[in-house]
Amino acid sequence: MNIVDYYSEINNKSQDIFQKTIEDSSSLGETHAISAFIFEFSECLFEIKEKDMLRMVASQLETATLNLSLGLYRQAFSSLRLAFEMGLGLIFFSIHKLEHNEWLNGENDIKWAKLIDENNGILSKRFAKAFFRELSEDIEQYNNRAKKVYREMSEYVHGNNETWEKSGLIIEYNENLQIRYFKLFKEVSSILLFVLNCRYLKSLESNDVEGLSEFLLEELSHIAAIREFLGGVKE
Amino acid sequence: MSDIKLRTESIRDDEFIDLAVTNANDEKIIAGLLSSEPCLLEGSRGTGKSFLMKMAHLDLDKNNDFISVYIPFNISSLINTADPLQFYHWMLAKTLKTLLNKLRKKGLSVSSYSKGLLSNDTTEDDETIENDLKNIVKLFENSYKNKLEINIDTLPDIEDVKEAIQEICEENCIKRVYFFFDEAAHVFRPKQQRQFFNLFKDLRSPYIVCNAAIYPGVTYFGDSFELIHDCLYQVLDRKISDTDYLAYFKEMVFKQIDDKVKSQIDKQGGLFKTLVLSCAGNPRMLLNTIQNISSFKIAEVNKTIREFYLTKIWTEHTTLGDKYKGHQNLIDWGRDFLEKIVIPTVVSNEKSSIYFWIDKDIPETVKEALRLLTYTSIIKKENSNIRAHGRLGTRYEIKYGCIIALDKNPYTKSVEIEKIRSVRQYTEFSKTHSEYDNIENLSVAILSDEQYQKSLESMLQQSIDVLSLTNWQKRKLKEENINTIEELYILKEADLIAKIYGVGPVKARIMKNAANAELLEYISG
Repeated sequence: MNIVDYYSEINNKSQDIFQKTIEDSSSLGETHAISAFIFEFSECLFEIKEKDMLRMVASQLETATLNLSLGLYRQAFSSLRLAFEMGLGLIFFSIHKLEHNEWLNGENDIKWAKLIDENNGILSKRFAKAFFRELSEDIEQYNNRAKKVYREMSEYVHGNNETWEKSGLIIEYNENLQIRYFKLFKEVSSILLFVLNCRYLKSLESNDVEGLSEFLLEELSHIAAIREFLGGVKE
Repeated sequence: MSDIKLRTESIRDDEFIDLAVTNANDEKIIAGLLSSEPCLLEGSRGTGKSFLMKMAHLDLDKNNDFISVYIPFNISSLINTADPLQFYHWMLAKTLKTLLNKLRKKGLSVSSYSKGLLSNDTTEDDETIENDLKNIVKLFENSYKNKLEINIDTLPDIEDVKEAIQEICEENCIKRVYFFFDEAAHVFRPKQQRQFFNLFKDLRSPYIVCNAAIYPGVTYFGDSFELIHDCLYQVLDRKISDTDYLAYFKEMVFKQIDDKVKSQIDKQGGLFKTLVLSCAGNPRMLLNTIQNISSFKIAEVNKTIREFYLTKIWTEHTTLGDKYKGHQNLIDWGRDFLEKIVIPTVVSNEKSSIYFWIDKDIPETVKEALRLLTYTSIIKKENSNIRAHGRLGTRYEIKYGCIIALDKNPYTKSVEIEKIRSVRQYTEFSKTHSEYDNIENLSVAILSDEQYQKSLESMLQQSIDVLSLTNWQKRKLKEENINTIEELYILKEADLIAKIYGVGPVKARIMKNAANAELLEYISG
């Protein structure tokens, strides 16, 4: 067996996994719908660097699912975490321009602890009060959820022993990991959508809000303040 | 106290299954919503129409043979377009956009935006039916977003839309697409409601089923829509005389409360029963009162019932007048008539408990006032074909809670009237009554568009002082002679930036948003 045969064999295995994964077209559709919506949301942002970064988040989410479909489970979780970090990082940079430019120049990193800081982070009451006051009661639970989901994804990224058992070293279809991935994706996207709306919704052009409203009312109508802002029924 | 969900909209899809409780009538309604016939579900506010629609929607969503689309119409500034055709197109575009989102979620369509995310393919030249639908949406959106004159003949018509949906069904082995329209009759003005029902009827096809929730009293179908012929008409009504009434509501409440409250309710069954009877079949009212009770003691329950059914429920009714200014007098008259005449007469009649009958030939204005009272569910039309002393009339049920709340001790009063609450025992009101004369001169054109427009105009004429702006911002606006909400509303952000020194894009946006928010707040009712 030469190197071409070797990789061809791996590719064949990967393609088998791909065929099994795409049987769940409904879950794939749901993840795609979220990435597509995040991309559409980026179209509404005024600031070009923020727009670009949000597009990268959408792209990263799609990459994560592509990894999953090929059986690269650990890479899928890793990409998902990266998308999550970048999404939250974008929100942080949107209010810290100096850090944003340093990051673009490669002189600064996205610091998770700063993002999640309970007093001054982007999932703090202070943040909600500044950009979408009516969400300040909801934001605390999102902070907790963000920490929890980040921790879980990190286990796959850092290679905790337990996760090696879960994701394996051999390329083979793993239904449990697939289910786990879609659950984590749902949680990640739910937090990203919340914080994106908390930060931007009130500052968007009314035509843009109108254009996003159908999707948002479907995904976030259970959050009374967002629903009411979009012209939905009051609590 | 438990975190109680008062509105269906506040419940996440994954929480529904844990909160759902159904009785035989609910199941019949759900079966109707799942059928291939379009269905209208009528019920007062808070009776659970949205919940049942959502249950049917989620049930269909699990089945790959169907596409189910839930459309909560929202209020947008675009809703106030003067052109009736534009409004029709706005509704159609919203409906189709929600369908497109659903197709994407089901994996039947790929976003053209993100198609280029992982490949370099950014073209949108796929001749897919989803793209046809997208193009239809775009054309409709352009017709109302741009203020330019649009040649209506160039727009796709409803047959194009139906054809596109049929092709989606055929290509994807889907039997039918279901649309669940929620809040349409609440959000829209009468003229718009008539157009909504035109659309509802126009969408009839072997591949499309439309279902919608409507309210008693304030729904306007228009001339071309016939309730009996154009849909399956169902009424959501939970009668306090139903044998499973108490058990049904207990199960519903127990799904939302913690063990501590459950144990209190089990110990104080009589008090709980009073609360359940008080709501007269309205889950939101029951949950609202349960949420407000700190402990299940007689004094606390009495206080809650009095607060809710003497104050809150009537406040809600009166605020209808804020929404429809031209009808404030009629709404106030209805309240007075019920509070000062009907309820005291019914209460003093030892045999009648909670029902009253009214002659069919009462003035139209009285009928309209009663209709508005059914919307807020203070009264419920029980039967419109009842004979009393040879004359035909309508029998109404007064909200149980509104009757017992008049007593200092509602719980004791409840125990008393519970024994005589037969529908056959009612107080009669003939076609003449001195109180009717007081509303003779009021307009019968309830909730007319003209009146709505009038009240909207008066709101727009208000000073910018009412807006959430800083004093500096208000002063700057006034210096430029922008004194009313309307004067601010008609300006663009660019105008503000050009006109006012010190105002850039950020401040201009804040100023414009304040005016828009006020308008949205107003038309939200």
